[in-house]
Amino acid sequence: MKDVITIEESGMTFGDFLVDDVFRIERSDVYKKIGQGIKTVEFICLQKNDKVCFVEAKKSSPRTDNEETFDAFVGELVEKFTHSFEVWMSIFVKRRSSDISRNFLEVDMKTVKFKFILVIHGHKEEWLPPIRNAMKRRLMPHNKIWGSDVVVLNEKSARDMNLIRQTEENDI
Amino acid sequence: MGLKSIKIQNFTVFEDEQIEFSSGINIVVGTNGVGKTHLLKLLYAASQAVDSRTSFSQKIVKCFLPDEYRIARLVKRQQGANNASVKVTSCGNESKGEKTISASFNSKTKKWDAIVKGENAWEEQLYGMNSIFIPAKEILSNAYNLNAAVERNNVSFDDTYIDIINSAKVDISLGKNSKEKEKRLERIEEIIGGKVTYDAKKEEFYLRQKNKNLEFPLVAEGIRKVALLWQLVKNGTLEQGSILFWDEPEANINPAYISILVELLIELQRSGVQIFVSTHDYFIAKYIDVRRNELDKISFLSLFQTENGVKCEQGDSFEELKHNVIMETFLKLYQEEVGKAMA
Repeated sequence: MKDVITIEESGMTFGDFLVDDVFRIERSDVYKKIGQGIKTVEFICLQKNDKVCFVEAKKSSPRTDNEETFDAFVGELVEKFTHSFEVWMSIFVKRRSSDISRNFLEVDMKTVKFKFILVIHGHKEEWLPPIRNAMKRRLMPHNKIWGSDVVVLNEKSARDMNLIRQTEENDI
Repeated sequence: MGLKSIKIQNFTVFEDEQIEFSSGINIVVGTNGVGKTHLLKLLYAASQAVDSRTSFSQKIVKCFLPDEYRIARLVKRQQGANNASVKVTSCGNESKGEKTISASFNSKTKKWDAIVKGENAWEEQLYGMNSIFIPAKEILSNAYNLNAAVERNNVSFDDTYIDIINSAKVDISLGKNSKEKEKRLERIEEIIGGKVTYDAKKEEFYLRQKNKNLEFPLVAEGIRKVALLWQLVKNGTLEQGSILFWDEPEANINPAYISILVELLIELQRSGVQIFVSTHDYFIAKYIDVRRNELDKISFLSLFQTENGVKCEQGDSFEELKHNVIMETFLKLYQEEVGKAMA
């Protein structure tokens, strides 16, 4: 039986993931080396159908009507996702080396899909679309160039996407 | 003044339902065919019956236009449902209590010969109360000779269309405009980019922009609807103590203007206009929730189909409605978006 792990972040339990399908970017050698000024997501994981998922977890989000705070929130997320993408890509093209599993280096660059996933603890479903819309606007060039996509979820929808452990204690 | 409640029995889609209203804004939501417009038209007919020249039952018929003008055709069509009744109750005021006007009829009632009760006391209490119904379809651009054509049976329009044209034709405003009224008119002018004028000889409305008159049929339909609101504010139809019924204000309106429209509705409510709006629009419902303050009197009414006819759920905010087809659709769309993004 293969080893699986879970990841505790922002009051949520992500997983179960096969150990070789997860890259804890924040704890990685490469990040320790170049970390200054670089922002990262919580982790990167591989999912079925050729998906590389960059996952960020938050306990809350600012109100959308507080424009300044909301823009800063979205801006920070955009940096986290794009920096993490570039760190992973730098490893993939062997510009940098790191303690990453072979599974990540064997993805088919022609068909792989990149998903930027934000999971917000305790959020009502109707609060999610404005956040996704704001992030999509900011990430539009990346989405166009790399065919990446942005998804904003709460625990329930993250569980439906097999990102959060299937236990009752995760219920909102 | 204003309307407090309605009790409807065996009328069109309603079997037996009592609905209470806010004296401020009432937002009616629900899928197609649950009677949103029927509810507004019934209330409008009752509001128009404050005029001694207008009969409640006749107004119902003229607003609904059943075949052969038979009110009997408005009885809910199901086995055993032979008797229908509609009772509308007013808010009352310090000097006079609530009054009720009712119309009862059955599947054999001829023309508009319903039994109407309480009409005299209704007229006495609510005398002079203005009410206006803005239909979903814009009609002002067809004002020319419409009344004559309807009278000659050349075309068939229900009374809500005839009445709105007649109200808009009133091209005078009494006294000097108050600051609030000026501000309100300016807000609407932001949307329509001018003012409305009416040529009584030609029976035509124009939008006056930069000293030039633009014929109404040449103006975008959404703008024409908002221009109508300008005219109703300007000529005093919409003032304290009046009632505005607006069926689907969102129809043909640029979503960017919805927030201004909502702001206007909230302001009209603050100045004492009771408002009934039926809508399918997420932006209208949400903007009302977002722009309101604690003192605003706002009620959300969700009509939904059950085995026992249409029922109504009331909520103080849009979000608390359990039968909320607008929100359900919005979330369904988001779920589909996420599903596609994660495919």
